[in-house]
Amino acid sequence: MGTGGREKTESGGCVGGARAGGPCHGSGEPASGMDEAIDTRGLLDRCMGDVGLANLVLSKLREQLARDEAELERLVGACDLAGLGRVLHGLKGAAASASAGPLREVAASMERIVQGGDMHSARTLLAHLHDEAERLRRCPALGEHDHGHGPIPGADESERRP
Amino acid sequence: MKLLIADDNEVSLTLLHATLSRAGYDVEVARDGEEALTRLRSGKIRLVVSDWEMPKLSGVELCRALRGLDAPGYVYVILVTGRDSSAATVEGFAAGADDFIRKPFEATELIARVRAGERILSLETRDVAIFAMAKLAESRDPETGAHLERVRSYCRVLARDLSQQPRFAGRVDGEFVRLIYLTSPLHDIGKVGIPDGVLLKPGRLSDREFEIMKMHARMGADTLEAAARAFPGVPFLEMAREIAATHHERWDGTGYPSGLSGESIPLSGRIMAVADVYDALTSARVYKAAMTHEVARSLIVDGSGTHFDPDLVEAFLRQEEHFLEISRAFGEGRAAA
Ligand SMILES: [Fe+2]
Repeated sequence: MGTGGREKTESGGCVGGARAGGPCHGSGEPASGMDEAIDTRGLLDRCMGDVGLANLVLSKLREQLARDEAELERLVGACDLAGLGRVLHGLKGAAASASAGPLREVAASMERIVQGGDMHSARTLLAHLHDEAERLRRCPALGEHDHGHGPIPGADESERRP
Repeated sequence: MKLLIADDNEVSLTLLHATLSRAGYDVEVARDGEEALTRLRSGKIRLVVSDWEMPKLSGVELCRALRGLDAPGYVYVILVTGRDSSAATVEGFAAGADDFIRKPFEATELIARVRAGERILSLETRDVAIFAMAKLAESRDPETGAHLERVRSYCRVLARDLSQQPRFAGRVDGEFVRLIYLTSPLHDIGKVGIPDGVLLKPGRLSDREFEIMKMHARMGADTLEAAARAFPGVPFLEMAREIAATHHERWDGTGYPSGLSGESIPLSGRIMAVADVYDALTSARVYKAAMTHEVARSLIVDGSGTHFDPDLVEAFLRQEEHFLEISRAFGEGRAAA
């Protein structure tokens, strides 16, 4: 059972190969770049204060992102609305679990857009999603000093890659 | 307790696994609905935390399949879902889910919901076990039947009374009252081990036969103790064992099987002693007529400090009217008051 994205074909607009990358603050959909990629406090609460577990959760999210980004590119290219809906729904849930609010927002927006069959907007949002994924990849691993305290430094301050 | 997590998402799975393992559960993992169903068929898992969206078989489809299984015990299902519509909730319940938790979940809420599921499963197990054991005892003893209903009600009345007395504060609470009502029908479970020639003898027992009959207290206690050892931390088994072991002990130490005296006799056993004797006195037997409430009352008062705990005789006197009501409600050949 999936999320039930409609098997609707975009008339005329469905040529493959939406581009990857793009600016951090794209036009149109939510200005996700304004928020921290990860709500550290929320994640640590969910992980019962265990920094090691929080980092494991983040690494699992990054692994999923690597797979899902490639799959989303393929599905957008194939105009596979049902497939897009399924992958986006899963990514939305994973991002929410990892307290990656902006990524969750982009995935949720894209899921709604896809349900409406708007492939043009979906491509735009996929670019935002890549941006959010990149921001997340740049987040440093949580350290002991993060235990229960505010958000981790944003991507700009990041020097360590997990 | 062993439980199963069914989820195909690694992020969610990592969190679920860590949260529940740390809460002390023995966690198994299935990464799709079919694998979950296969593991549940083993009958060794009683609680599942399942994602709604899963490959092969969704959480809802898993529920439906599970409820259709001819499984040995009930499996409690908690669905993890990002869906918050009441239609989704109704669909989940209709499929056989027992509870839901919203994604992303909070660790404390997840543990609380799993614990609630455990409580429900243990209630089911407990009630089934007690019912089966009490029925077994009843089938071997011609004096039981309504006797079990009366004595458990007498026990509850006495325990409720004590719960109101400052002297018993902290010892007798609502849970104690519930447990004694539940477990007191097992007081004579050991009679299943008494030979027919003694147990079913229609008349007074000889000294030798009485010695054999007295063994029922020890045998019942041994059986329940074995169960309590196999399932430690199950309060009803402990109270059932206490009652079976001590309901024929006497306050002055002249009872059986251990000759315990005073407060070394567990309170549940002291309560059961009053309830059991009152019922025996006011019931007709093939070899004796039923005594009236007044006669039984005077014998119980006479036994205060010798046979019975004086506090319990006082509780009995305060609750006399309730004893009479119960006696009438579950009466069978009862003597008039
Ligand atoms: Fe007995």
